[in-house]
Amino acid sequence: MNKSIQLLIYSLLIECLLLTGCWDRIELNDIAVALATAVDVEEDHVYRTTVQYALPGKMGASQTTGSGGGAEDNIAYIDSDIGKTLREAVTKMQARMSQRITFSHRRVLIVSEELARNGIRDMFDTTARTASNRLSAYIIVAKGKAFDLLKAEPQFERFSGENILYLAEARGVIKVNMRQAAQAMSPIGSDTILSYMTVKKSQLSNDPSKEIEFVGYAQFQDDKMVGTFEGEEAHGLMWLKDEISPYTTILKIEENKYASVNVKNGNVKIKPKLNDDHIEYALDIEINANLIEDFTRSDITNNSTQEVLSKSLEDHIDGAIHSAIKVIQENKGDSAQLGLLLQRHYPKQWREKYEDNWYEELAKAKFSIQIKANITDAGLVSENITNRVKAEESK
Amino acid sequence: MILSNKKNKKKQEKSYLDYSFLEELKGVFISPELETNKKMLEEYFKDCSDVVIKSFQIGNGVDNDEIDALAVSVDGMIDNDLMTEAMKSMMESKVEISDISQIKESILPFAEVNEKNNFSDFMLSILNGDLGILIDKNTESLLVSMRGFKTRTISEPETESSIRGPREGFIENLRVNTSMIRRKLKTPHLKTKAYKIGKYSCTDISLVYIDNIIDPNLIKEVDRRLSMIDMDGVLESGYIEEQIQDNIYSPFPQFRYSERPDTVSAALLQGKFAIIVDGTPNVLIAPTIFLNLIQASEDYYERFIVATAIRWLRFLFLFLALTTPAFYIAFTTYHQDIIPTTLLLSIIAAHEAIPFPAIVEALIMEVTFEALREASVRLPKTIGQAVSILGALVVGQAAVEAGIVSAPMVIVVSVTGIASFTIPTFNTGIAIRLLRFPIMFAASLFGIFGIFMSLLLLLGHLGNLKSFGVPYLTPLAPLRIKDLKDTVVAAPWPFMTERPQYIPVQDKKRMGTQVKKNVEKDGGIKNKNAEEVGDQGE
Repeated sequence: MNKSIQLLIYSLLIECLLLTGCWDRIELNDIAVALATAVDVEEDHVYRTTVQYALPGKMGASQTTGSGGGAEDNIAYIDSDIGKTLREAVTKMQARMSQRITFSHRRVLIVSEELARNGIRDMFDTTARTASNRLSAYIIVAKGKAFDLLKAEPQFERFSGENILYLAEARGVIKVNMRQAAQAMSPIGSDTILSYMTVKKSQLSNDPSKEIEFVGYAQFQDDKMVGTFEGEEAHGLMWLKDEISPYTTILKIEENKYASVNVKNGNVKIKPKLNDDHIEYALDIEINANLIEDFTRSDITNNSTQEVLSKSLEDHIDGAIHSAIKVIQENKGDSAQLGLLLQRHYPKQWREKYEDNWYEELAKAKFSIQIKANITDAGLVSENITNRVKAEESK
Repeated sequence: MILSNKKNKKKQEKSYLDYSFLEELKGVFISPELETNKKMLEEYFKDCSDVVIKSFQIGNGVDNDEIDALAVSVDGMIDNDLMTEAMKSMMESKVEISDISQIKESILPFAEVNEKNNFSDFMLSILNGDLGILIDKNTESLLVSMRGFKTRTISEPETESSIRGPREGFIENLRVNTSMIRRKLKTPHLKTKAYKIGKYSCTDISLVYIDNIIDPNLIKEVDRRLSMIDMDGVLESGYIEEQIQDNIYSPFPQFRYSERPDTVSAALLQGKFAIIVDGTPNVLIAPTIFLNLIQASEDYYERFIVATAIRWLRFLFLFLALTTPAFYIAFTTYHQDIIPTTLLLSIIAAHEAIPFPAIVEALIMEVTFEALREASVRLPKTIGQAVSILGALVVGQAAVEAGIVSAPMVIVVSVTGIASFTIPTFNTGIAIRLLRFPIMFAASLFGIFGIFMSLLLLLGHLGNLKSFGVPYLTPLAPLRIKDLKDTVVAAPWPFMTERPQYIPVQDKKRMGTQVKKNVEKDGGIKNKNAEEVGDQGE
């Protein structure tokens, strides 16, 4: 082929790339990085959206800004506005900002408990529609106002949003990000839970700061919050959901004699069984735990001590699971996705009998729990190292 | 019919080389009149102050039997002591001379004495440093080889130093260079075919190969391409390289050049050929594939696990050298989403006071870096150090402090610089360094999409290249699994039983399989006389 025609075709093809018009290019100096959003509900279906932005220029990383010093002062910037939709509020905020707001680094979305009780389905619409929004963000329910959580000043992180994120991802917490929450919310026989947090003042320090505390999980029925799992209920839920991550709990061995154990891992088998008038779930649980504190002054090498400890751990976890079941059955929120489990085992019966009135069936369901606990590790010593012993015994 | 017509046409076009004095003088024979010869030589060497034409007489020792003769030499090319000895033995000779071959046989105590009867050969030899002797009433001339011009001593090649391996490198003298290869491959099968190219330079060129390994068609093709060259002078092997390579319009070298005799010998053993050009220590090796260019001779000397790891390090840094600034530009101007939040905030903080967009910032730094590199290559070594200090201080630190470029960009440029220096061959390194600029532009226009489009284009180009018919990307594309053992990884020597498949060779087998079998069975060569050795130990 003629060389010049070839060249012409190639250059025309390359020009096509330049014709797209829409350019994604944006310089770093022109973006405002949103780290966390808090959504509250005001009267008349008006949302108050509060956004936390990073002010990297004040982080002191650049030596050239000239402002110098005071690297600590306000590296986070919070702005808020109201709107009938979340986007309206953001648009209003954008009108007073010189830099384009980018949500691609937002990993935390906080909703107030009031909003959660009214329903959170709208949140998923806003987030999922734009590609730059991350569905890997964590959605958090705040006890009280959502913006109060953003306004907290945790000492360990530079941004409260970052702090919330690390709490939501911490060990011993069931991690539910927006994608997982959406998946849990979609089918009948499955409801989501979300991390539930509150602002707490640090205790007894000279200069008390407003810290953020992980309280437990908000329980949902469909998209509405119906209750909470706190303390042992939260641990019990972990076993029901078979999402065990190590956590520490205390055991009451005798009156005023306690021991702490660290639950390392466990194995849960849940089997639903259909009875005529109720469903029965059989839980078969195996637990491995470490002893990390023992105030009973006993010797762990002793078989009977071990038995006592295991027994008490078994009872403790049995109690925790039952307290979680109680919350589930009373509030009618299937946080452990027990309906989904039933559907997988008995798809036909599920469709015919249970799907339509699942929450009633769930309230009637019975649970039988088998637990086998092993204390596999007692730490570096088998008993308190200051225990008094007689001279000949020590030999 | 048409074909033959074309051939005739070509023949009619006079080749440039036809005008060279050699061709002119081929038909001019040495006249029996010494005076005529002298005049002719004086005319040719007019204003050549370094050519010495001296009349003398042979056989002064014998009464009345002197013969007039002429000694012609180029001052500086010839060994003066040897010349004095030759003249002395001729002047003081007491042998009666009836024939010119008598001088050759009984007077001159030199091994290499040739008889030539035309001026073409005569002058060429003189210009190469021989002593030419013309004798009255004789149409034959004597040429005594006593080249004594100064050459550099053999030293360690500066551009290809290695920890393990020979320390010798080629020098500018063709004969010394061929001898260095001959010393490594002592076989009559090592051929050094001679060419003379260049109207004015008459450069000696040697085509070196092992005749019962190399594919004869390959040699025919090289021969064809070499004889097509028709130019005034060849001063470096680069002149030859560009005239006989397959693809001119490519930044990638299709020849490897090396200063190391061991590298060249290894290539010859693989079935490649080498072209040595007089006057340069850089020897061309072909057919060369891309992966050869990022191998060092040391890969074959070091333990194979280490060598493999180093090869992979080079692959990684080859990619980094090509794309690091482009990825930085793409990430910071298009895909801020995929930078970890904390890192993004740090980059923004560092970038806040910088007035330029990322591409301009990158160009400032990269171009400055290239300039620094170029400056330090050309400058004398002592000043080169000053340049590098200046570069480190001015470009590295002051630019950041002045708010012209951001600190992360300095890191990016440094990584790119270091990465490009891990490529063992300079000409490949510079091609890679050059190509990162278009990729940077593509990144600034289209983000990661642009980077990958340009990498695809580059890959297409590489796939299209050939070096003497061998695809440039073999053994990867076309895939030759057997050859991967010496390209992607470095297999231990016992497993290199065959020559690379990507080069056509006559003899595929490289070594016996006894060691390989032993290694496969026992994981090494086990001691058969273990007990005896053990006894000695005690």
